[in-house]
Amino acid sequence: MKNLRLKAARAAMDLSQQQLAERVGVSRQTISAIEKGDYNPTINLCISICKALNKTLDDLFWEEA
Amino acid sequence: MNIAYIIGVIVGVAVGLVLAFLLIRYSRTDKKLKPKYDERQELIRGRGFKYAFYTSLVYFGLLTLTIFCLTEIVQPGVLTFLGVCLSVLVYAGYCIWHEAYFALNENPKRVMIAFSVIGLFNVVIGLSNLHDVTSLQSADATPGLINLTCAVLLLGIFLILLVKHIANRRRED
Repeated sequence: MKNLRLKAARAAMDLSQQQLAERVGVSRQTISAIEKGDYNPTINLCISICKALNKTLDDLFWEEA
Repeated sequence: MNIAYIIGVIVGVAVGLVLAFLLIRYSRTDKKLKPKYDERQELIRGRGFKYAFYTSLVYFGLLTLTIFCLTEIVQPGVLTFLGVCLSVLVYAGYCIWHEAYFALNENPKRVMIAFSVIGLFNVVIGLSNLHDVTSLQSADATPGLINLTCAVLLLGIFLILLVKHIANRRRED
């Protein structure tokens, strides 16, 4: 399932995938895969992304039932 | 096979091993040179190793069954090296296709240039080694065929990189 909230949060901070990837310490393709729903990140990476985007885990990764 | 040839092979392998050991040790201790992969890349690379392992299992299993016929065409050393190259190609191809081949701190252009140079080097050495060979089955043909196999492997990796690059550009457009 696509993670549109991550994409929206990144766009709201005016960051490209490459810029977010550099802040988090992963490749651009990994950010792209997370946004497309092709890869489920570990909790450590989720936390790093949340910190980089000033969001909580719930904001970006919690799926409402 | 004369004694000078055997000594040459042993010395060559020993020098190669020492150089590889020094290179790996140096690159592992220097933080700039040590390849860094993220968690998705590590996962993909692990799968790549798995598929390469399965490839080598199948290849060497089939080789065991057919080696009696195949050694009439080429030497066993070439067949063994072909299996190694095939496994490496599967591993590299899988990693390239899933964007996990290059480390975060690696320059893909530099790697591709290095591959091209090493590939061309192997083509030249392979063809010059095969120049005076009358039959591919003879032991004299083995070094040349191994060089050419290595060149084909590098060309294969280069082609996969190129196809992936084109596919990515089309997707972005």
